[in-house]
Amino acid sequence: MGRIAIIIAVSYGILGGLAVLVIAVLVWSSTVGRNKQTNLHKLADREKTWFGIVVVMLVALLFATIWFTPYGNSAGTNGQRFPVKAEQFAFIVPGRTLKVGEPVRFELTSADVNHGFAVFDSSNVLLFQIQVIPGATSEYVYTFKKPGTYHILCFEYCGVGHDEMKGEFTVRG
Amino acid sequence: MSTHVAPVDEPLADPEEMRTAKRLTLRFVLTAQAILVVSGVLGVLLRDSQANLGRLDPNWFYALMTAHGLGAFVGWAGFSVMGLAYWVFAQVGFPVRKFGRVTAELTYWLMVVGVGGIVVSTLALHFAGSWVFLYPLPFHSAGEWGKWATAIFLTSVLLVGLSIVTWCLSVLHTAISPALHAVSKKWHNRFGVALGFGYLWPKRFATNPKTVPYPVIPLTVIGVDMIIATLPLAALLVEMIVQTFVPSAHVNPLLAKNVLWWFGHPVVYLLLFPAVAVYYVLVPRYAARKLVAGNVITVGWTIAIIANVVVWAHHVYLDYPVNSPQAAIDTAMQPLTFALTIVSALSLYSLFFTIYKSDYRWNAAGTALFLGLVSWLSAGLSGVVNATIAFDQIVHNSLWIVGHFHQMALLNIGFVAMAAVYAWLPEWTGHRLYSEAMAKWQIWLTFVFGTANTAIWLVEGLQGAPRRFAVLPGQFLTLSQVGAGIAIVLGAAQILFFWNIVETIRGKVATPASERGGLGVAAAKIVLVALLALLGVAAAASIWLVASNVSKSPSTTTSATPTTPATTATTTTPSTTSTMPANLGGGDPVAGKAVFESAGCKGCHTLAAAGATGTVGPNLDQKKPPLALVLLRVTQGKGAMPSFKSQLTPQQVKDVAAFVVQSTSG
Repeated sequence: MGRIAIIIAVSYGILGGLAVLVIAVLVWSSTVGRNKQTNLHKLADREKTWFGIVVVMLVALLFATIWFTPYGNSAGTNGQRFPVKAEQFAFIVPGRTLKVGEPVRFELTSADVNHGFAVFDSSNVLLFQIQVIPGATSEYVYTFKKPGTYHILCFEYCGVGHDEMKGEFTVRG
Repeated sequence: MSTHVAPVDEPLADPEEMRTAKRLTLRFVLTAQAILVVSGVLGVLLRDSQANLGRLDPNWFYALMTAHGLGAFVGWAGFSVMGLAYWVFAQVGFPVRKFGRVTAELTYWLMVVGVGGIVVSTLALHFAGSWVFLYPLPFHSAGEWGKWATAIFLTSVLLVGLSIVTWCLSVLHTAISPALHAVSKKWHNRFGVALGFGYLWPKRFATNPKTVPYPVIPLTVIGVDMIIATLPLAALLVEMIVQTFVPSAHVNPLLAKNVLWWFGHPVVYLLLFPAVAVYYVLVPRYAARKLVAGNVITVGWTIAIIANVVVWAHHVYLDYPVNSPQAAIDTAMQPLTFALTIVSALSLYSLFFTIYKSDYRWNAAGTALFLGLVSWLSAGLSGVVNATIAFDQIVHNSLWIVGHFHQMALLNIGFVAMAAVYAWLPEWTGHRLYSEAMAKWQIWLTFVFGTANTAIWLVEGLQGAPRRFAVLPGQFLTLSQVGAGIAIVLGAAQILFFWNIVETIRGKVATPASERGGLGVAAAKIVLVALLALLGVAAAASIWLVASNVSKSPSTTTSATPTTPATTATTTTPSTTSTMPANLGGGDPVAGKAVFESAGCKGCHTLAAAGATGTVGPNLDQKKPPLALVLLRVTQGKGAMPSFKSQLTPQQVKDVAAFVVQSTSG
């Protein structure tokens, strides 16, 4: 798994675990530890507090993550161009190799339908993905840190050969 | 802002109106369960195929996938809760009046004919464009399905869309019923009352004697939103039907994708919001108290009515071609999507605290509702991951998404549909539930195996497993096989559900009266132990997951064993100095020419480079097939062309494909 996947796994695990604990307390208090003297009006009123907590948590998550979108990345002047054409059911990549440490500008086009361009390293870790749309050019800038063979999988359903739609390219030191 | 505790809702409609609602709901719900039988079996077949237990031909796999998606999501979960809406209305004193009844009838038949057409176009005519049928995929079938399949499929989806619109009309007509006792007789005032504005502005939206029952609010919200959401899709479908026969017609694919998701997001709420209405009716009943809700819940629903139709682009976060405004739209949709989660957070608060310290009845229906809430919370959290662009760039179109929505649709909305059947089938049929114990078994098996089913997809997704792959990359085979086993049990557990329904309708009773009414404290202890066990398993799985990644060094990552022809075909490294198009997949075109000549290809195909002039199959010089298609056809065959898998070695297949691609791509 990549770094982002680990962040997702850990935070989902922690939040999910907390949620299960809260629910377990709820079940306990609604059965074994039942106490009929509950002030329902107070509980209903506290929904406002919960509303505030939810808004604060969402705003926090928004400001923690919105800076990490893939939009607007540029390869600058030192970039290596790498045009890739996607078609049912193949990626047509240039025959040349790429250089480590220099930004690569992937220029992605489709000959027919929507495709997804997902790049995996040699350990099968998903590095990035972007949609390829017919009639438009999608660009993704990535700087490879390690030499090796990188694999491409199609990440948008594109017809019966979809799972056969693969490709690869090489990055040299 | 003052606080209300909603009244316990009692039936107010007169007996004739109750009978109307009963007939409508029963018909919708039973038809939907029949669709579940078919789409559930398809789901298990798909899972088994991915796990290599009964591998399906790729076209067949994707055709079944298309049918399963639409069948289970709209035909079962959607259709169920659409029908339940009429019964919910009747429960809170809102009769379905004449216009509502006519549009409800229309809804039913449009849906039945639409689902029938989808079955025909996918299972009989092999349409395999997936339920999102991303434009222009239906017109690029790679020879697998014809234009009649496309036309019938698109028309059927259009009928389903129209069914949703007529349902909205009947819901809105019922929601603004005079039963509201709105002080103002104007319809738009009653509409505001139905949206719950009376809780916020009691004078402007005055009612007498009481404010609108909470279950009416989500139904009204979705009634408005689904009309807004469906009409643009209907226009796109009409264009696509025309384009099937008039190929010169054209739509911008990115616009079409936006229109699809303009519908595709709200349709999730077509399932969720009526399900919430059912929760609002049944949870207070089993907790024997009123719904614990502050006025702020109305704020949540007001946000939802707007946010629901302006969050579609979170499905296209990774579409941002140059020179298009899509990136800005996508960025704006993250905070809007977050805002939409507020209504779920508030509803979960209200429903959980309605149960809190109450005398909750842990019968089958009560348990299903409670476990539905638990799944809603969990699926909501994985949904927030999808809604966050920084995370979506990893999980997008991975099996994580599949895990997320199966938990939401099957274990939240599905549990509501099942709870409603257990709670109300006796009222609809006048017969006691056949077996409460059997129902409890079904609910618990579904929860445990359904949750495990989802967990496996979530884990596979984080490891980079793509969704909609007939054959997954080899490293996922073990997990997929575990998942397939779980899915089989999950599917088998539903036999208990159908059995219970059939026997109840037949008027049979399996259990003594003393058993009915729940197990009380004993059941609660089981719930408690199961939840803690689940937490333990989840913690262990997380630790294993993280540990297995931390300890991963380059020397140990080659353990992915190629177990299928698909993976062996790609594990060879091509010569990196090649000046030819690099995409020859490791095949040797020179050796391939010999294979082409000796294997009999010349007899059927025209290929100048081999001096072949056959006319039985496609002319390869004209078709210029891509590599993957050649590999697919040579190994799988198609129509009159046999599979050459047993006749040629894997290397010979690659060689001949390389030869065909090289000699036609110049």
